[in-house]
Amino acid sequence: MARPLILVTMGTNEYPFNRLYNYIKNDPLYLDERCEWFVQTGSCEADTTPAIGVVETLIPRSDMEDLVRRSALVISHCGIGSLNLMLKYRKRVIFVPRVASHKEFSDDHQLQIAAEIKNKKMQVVYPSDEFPKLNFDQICADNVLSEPVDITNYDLARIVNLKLTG
Amino acid sequence: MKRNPTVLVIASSGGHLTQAMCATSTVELELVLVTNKNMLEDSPFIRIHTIRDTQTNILIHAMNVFSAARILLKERPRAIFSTGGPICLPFALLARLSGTRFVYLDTLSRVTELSNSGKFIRKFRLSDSFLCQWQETAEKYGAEYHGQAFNLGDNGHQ
Repeated sequence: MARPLILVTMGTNEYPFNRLYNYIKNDPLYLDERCEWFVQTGSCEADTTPAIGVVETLIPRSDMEDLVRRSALVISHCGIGSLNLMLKYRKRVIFVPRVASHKEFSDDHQLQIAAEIKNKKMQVVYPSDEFPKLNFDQICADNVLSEPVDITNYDLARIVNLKLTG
Repeated sequence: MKRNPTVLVIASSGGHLTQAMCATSTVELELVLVTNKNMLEDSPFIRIHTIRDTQTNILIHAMNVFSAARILLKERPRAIFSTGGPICLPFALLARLSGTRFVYLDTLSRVTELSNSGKFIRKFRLSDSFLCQWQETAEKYGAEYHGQAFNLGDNGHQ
């Protein structure tokens, strides 16, 4: 059986997100050969590579989309672009909002977004929470759906079109 | 040379760009993008310009005014659309000065107040249309609300 892919994404943000990196590298599955990892770090310095997998700073959007499509679990910062992709591919996600108090962003807007996530497959880890221990069997048990859902709001798009061209 | 009319889309990479692509998905004119990091491979844009992003560096903002002027002179867009971030500010100023239609959609990621770029554009009335993606925040700032760029709901997630 192929190894389940665990994708970690910290977005294109300029602020390093070391807390998220420390969460994942301290999880036993990071050094477990049964899993494959892809870790997109942005500006965070990664000092430990996973047993199987790759650590990259930034990757093209289409590569990210392909990784999301193939992943069994995603661990993500709480950026709106990431949320869009995870909804589109109906992924199981652990979101970790960036917070200003840890110098992970200039403000706490990711906490506001986190509060709007109401989806059974999506979990938010707040700064006061402990990062959950990853469970290999649970990760394998999840269906890896590959067909994207179109979540574009065409009502808004039509209004924007009218305003731009009308 | 006769050219097809275009819409200039200004959006920094990541979530701003995702929202801009959703919101302009039914625009019938050709789209030209201005962004800060080009991470796109195939895209709906016929051309892509990159400029430097900054939140607070005045020097980069000042340099971006010249970059924006150069891009606007080259592209001569029918209208400009932006979801932010701060790279849109020089375009907003020049759009107002040149009388080019400017439609601004404040980012979905600011739930309870406008983004800093949004506040600036609102304060100086730089946009022809100002849309906000959260109803209460739209009311608070006198912006238009027409829903969100993409559906945050459950989408048949099981």
